[in-house]
Amino acid sequence: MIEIKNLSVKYKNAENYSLKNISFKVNTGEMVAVIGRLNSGKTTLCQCINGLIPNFVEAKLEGSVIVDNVNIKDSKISEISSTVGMILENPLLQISGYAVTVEEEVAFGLENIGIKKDEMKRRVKDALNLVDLDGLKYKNPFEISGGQQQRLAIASIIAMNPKTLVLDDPTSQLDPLGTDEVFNELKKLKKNKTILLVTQKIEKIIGLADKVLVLNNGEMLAYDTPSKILTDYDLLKKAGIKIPLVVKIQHEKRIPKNKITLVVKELKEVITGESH
Amino acid sequence: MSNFWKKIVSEFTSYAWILLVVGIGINWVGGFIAQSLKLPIWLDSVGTMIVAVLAGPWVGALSGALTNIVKAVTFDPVGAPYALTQLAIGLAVGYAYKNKILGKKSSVVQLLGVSFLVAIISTLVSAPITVYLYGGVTGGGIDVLTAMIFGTTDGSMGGLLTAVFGAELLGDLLDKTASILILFGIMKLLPDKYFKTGAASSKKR
Amino acid sequence: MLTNFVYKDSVIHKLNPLVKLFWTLLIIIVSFASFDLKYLIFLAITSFLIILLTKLSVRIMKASFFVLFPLLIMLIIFHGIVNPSATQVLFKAWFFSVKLDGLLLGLKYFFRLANFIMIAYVLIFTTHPSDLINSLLKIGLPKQLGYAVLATTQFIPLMINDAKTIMDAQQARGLETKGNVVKRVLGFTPMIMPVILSSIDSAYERTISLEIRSFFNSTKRTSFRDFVWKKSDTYSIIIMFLIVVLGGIFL
Repeated sequence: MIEIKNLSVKYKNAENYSLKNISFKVNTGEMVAVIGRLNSGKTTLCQCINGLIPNFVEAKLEGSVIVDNVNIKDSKISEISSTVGMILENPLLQISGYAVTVEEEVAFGLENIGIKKDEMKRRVKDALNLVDLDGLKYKNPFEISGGQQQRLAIASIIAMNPKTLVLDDPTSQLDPLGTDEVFNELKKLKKNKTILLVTQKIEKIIGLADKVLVLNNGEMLAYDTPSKILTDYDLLKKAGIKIPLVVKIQHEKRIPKNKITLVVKELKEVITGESH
Repeated sequence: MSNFWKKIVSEFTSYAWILLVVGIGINWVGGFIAQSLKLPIWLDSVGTMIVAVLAGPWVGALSGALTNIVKAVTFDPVGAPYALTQLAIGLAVGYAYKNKILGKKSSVVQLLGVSFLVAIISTLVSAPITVYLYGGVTGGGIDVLTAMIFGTTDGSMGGLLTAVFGAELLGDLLDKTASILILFGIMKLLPDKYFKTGAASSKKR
Repeated sequence: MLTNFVYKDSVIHKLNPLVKLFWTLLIIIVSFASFDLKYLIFLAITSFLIILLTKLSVRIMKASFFVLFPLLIMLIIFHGIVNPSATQVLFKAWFFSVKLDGLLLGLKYFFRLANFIMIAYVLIFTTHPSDLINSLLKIGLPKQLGYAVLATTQFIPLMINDAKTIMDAQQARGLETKGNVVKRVLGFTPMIMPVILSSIDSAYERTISLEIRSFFNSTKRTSFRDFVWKKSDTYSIIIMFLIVVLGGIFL
């Protein structure tokens, strides 16, 4: 569960606030997709949830960030790895460089938090199975594809058993195949984790996210279900977000907002229904 | 004394450790490029110097020292003792930067002065290593020069030391001056944000 | 990965890396403390026998020769010929003379170096860096240091590749790679600058991903790898110790 209350962030030496008075709540087991144009504050928000702000990045944090009853801003980053995990954009930069095999890479975080060997081996095995990398476990992390590396990053983080996951645009550096691989993992992870996903792949959110958070210029424009937000043409336009094709088509046919569907199969009925 | 130790330890933030690794890489790549361009100088301490500036003298020193250690365990064991030389270079450059003698706005005189200082310190550390451990030889072209100078001395160990010192100093003057000038160019080209060494340190660890 | 490790099924390969490290350090320390040519040659023979056991003897001897031969020549010239304080002339040739006492001194330095190189190469060629570092971590090496060495061995090949690409690109743009020395030195900075910028840039994000995985905490580290110490490892240490000590006493 993620509870954000009146969150405002100002970077050192910045003139303006990067996040302004954000408040929202994500229930356990839900997935929130965070969308918005470049520099709207998405990465800043991610870094608040896993404690990088204010304990690593030089920025002032006002308000409260609470994840599973842990007050994030007062915690040491190295101690909340079992509470919140984060996946970054660039798969190559998440490889530690310390491990010579994929399974060692997954074990890296566990070694750091002092997990006993038997438990470690079990967790590594489970994590690799979850992301379907068990077959590659003896390969060198530098010799696998981008999509596989990102799945490796996911395995390395979930092996530390955080209940909450934050993913900051995890597919922007991947090819379409890699992107599909990651979104498949997200479908699996959704079952028992709370997930906050920053993404530009608007179409992929449909059918996956429970809620969508729209950020614009550091402010929270909207927080609602995908069917309410992604059909709101004007809202998306204002926030500079790419309009899903299915919505664009209906908008051009002047379908009223409350009748717009996100389901491609229903498209034909909605359009033909309206033109009668 | 413990205040001094605390200052040294405080240089080693999480970011500093990663910069340290980057420094080793830059030393290595620098040496590689110099070899590929067939330059008469080594240019294998530029990484040590950059890290000394960005993260502090002791991080730079360790970065340089570990460069030789990594080389030693992968292919070049003989270079291991010269880790001390890199250590000295890191400290010299780092403290020159801290005392504002070396910086983005240094004058030509200051740059040459620092180059001279670093070259002398570097030779002061490496010459005794070459003489007392390796009998005066390095396997490089410098040995020819050393032999020539040695012939004019009295032939004692002191004479050998003088010969090695003289020959290595010549090489170091060229190499360190070029390295410092390159460092200066790099400092001017790097955006300001990289210089905020406190910027990315984990305050609570 | 940056390494000269070559896998072979030999007795030496099977030894724990710490044993080989111990051998290397022991022989180095003893060689550099000794001025007795007989003892140094004895140690050289010991190292050579170990090399024979690695099943990589040709490779190791080739590599050693490559390094040692120029050094031998230089040492003979320095101490046997040029050294003004050497007096016992062995023979004269052309315009120079080889002096015995100088030659012996040069040989002493040579065997020091030879021992160093041979036993270090045994370590280098028969031990994978990650095995060596992991063993050191087990006995207390600080994890940041172990990490620094291991990460370097993995990242440097990538950085060198980037450098090669950049060098080719710069050459295509007409940057001088041949021509006089000054031009070539000036060509250095544009070639190294992209490498420096991209590696410092990625340093920040790498630090973040390591922080996220609790690398910089102070909890005692556990190890995924199994640390295996066999009886043969203990015996190897004892035998080498005995060889070195007994040789020292009797020679």
